[in-house]
Amino acid sequence: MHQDAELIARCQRADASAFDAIVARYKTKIYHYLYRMTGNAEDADDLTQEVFIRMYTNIGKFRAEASLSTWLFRIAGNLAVDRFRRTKNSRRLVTSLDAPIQVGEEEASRDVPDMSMAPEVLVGRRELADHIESALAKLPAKLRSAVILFDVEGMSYDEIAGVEGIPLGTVKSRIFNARVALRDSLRPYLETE
Amino acid sequence: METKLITCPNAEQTIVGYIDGNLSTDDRISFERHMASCQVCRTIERELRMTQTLLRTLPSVEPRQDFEARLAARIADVKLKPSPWWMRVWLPSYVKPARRRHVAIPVVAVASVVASLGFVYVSRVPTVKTGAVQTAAASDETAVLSELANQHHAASATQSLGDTSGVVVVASDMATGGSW
Repeated sequence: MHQDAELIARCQRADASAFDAIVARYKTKIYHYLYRMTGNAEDADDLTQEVFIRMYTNIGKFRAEASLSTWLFRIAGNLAVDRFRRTKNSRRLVTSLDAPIQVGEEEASRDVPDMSMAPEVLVGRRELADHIESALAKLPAKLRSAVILFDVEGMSYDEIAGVEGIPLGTVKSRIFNARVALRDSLRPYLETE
Repeated sequence: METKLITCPNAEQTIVGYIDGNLSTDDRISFERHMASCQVCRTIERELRMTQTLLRTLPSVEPRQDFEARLAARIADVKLKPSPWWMRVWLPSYVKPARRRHVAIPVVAVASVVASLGFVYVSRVPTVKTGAVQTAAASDETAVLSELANQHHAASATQSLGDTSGVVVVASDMATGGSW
């Protein structure tokens, strides 16, 4: 946090190396969040660049009322929502778990998970990640953002409240509702007991 | 089995706080006592905890290696591309950059109309007023000159050449700061 304040002050004095340091520190976190929000690498890459361009052009207006992290994630969230509104390309974001997978020119059915396998055993399997990403993509953007920020990015409730500009109780409700919706989508992987 | 949430008021925030380890000790103990006798909350807690575990299995992703180089190119492009003059008009900070074009055009149009009307007002009204004053002043001056000329002719008619008594009258007028 202290380092961020120092880097921002240097940025405001047109120190290019400070800007590079901020990019190096936050690019992966922002990209990761936007990748989970948009569901594809191309949009995530483009929007992550846009976040840092916005930061570059508005750094003079930045005041220490919020942390740099909160500011950057807020820009990222707004850009992601704007992109959804503009493209309205829900087909790319939402994939039915029952829909066949395109393998070259042929279609293959999705593997039915082995119910005897605990979630830990499935870690690292691309197929599971695809199912989770599809389930995330079905969520409304507000719920998706809250659950990604907490469960994937590891933010605290307070930080999420700052990023989203919502009360703490709303953060908890969104996380709860997001998990309930995800549970319903991912139920085949949960009924192991 | 679909679990029903309505049986436990305020369960949402309590369950989320319990799973995330954000309950106070008292609240945690109280909720654990409740769960011991509530199958619904127990099931929800278990399923949501497993859902969270699944979410955390998502692999980490990294931006492309040339991210910084492409960002530098885009920033250079932003720097080189000045906005048109009419976009540089002052606008409040709450007008988002994406909407500035939509706001700037009417602002510039209204400002142009106001400026044109102002110019017409300023250039017309004072001209009429000044002309009237100048005309009035000119009339007064002509009348004074005419009066003096008449006086001069009247005096000259009764005087012989070289008699300067009439001139003394005029010189005294000059001494009082007249318009000569």
